[in-house]
Amino acid sequence: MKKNLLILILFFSSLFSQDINLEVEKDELVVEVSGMVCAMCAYGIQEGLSELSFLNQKVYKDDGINIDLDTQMIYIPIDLSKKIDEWEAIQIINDAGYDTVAIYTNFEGNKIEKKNIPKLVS
Amino acid sequence: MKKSIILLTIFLSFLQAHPIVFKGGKVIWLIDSPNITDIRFGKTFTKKFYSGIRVFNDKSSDQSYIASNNNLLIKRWNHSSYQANIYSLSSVGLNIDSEKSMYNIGLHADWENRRFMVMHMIEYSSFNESTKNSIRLAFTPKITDYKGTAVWLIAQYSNHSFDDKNNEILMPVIRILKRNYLLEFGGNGKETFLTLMTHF
Repeated sequence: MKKNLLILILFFSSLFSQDINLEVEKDELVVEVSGMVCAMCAYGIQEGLSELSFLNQKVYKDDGINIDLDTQMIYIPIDLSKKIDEWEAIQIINDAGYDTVAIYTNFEGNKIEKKNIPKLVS
Repeated sequence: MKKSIILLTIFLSFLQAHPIVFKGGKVIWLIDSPNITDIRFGKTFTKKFYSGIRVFNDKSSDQSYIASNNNLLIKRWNHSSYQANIYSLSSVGLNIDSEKSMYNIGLHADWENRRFMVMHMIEYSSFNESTKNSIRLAFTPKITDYKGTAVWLIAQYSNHSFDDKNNEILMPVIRILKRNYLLEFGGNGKETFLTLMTHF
């Protein structure tokens, strides 16, 4: 009985942990955050990430990045010729007052990788 | 005794905060309400601590003050569909004419998702020995994306107690947000309310 219950829980949790339908470019980081419900408050994320050392500013011009409040996703175009430090982006988002949930990359162009980010202790 | 209160307030000032924006973010803020005209400028030094300066005029006494304004984010809850916050607020300063000291302490709590917002603030001000309670209930008829112009409709209730008087004001307020700019305007036929704010 217990075993069946465990199988059932694992089955349902796998259903709910399915990655959302997400497109990630080869030269892009996509960061899932939580708490990003207000555009004016999220402005701090844009300001901070515009200083990111490996940001490719040609894609979104002055905006630097793209923020989707509906999905709580931040799209960061990256310059692959530079050293990519995902932690730098996570730290900036955290300094803006938000929690990072996961980071998605597709460096090989055919496989989206998801890394869950543990909540930072502040 | 008074000295102890001032020292305590200065101490609290460093444990305090209000609109905390983002680390390094600067804020310019103008409020014109039935009780006060208030101009503030400050910087968010860490994601939890804001410090700045404010110059304000208490309309009931027509006295002006200059004060340091320090706010602290006590607790934030980030969720995929909402954010909630508790802030402490404080100011400590002087009457511009008499140089008499003043302080102001308060608590601010809010909860918001992309459609609704609830806010409660309670403040005590030493210059007129008043307590002010403010409650806001807000909703936006249209959820906008990051680059869009958001319009919020707010019901604002405040209860201001001083000199054995109790002044209650209910006011509808409209809030317009566009990127890093905020405009709020309210009026109830007798009084008006205006807030302009930007951070950068």
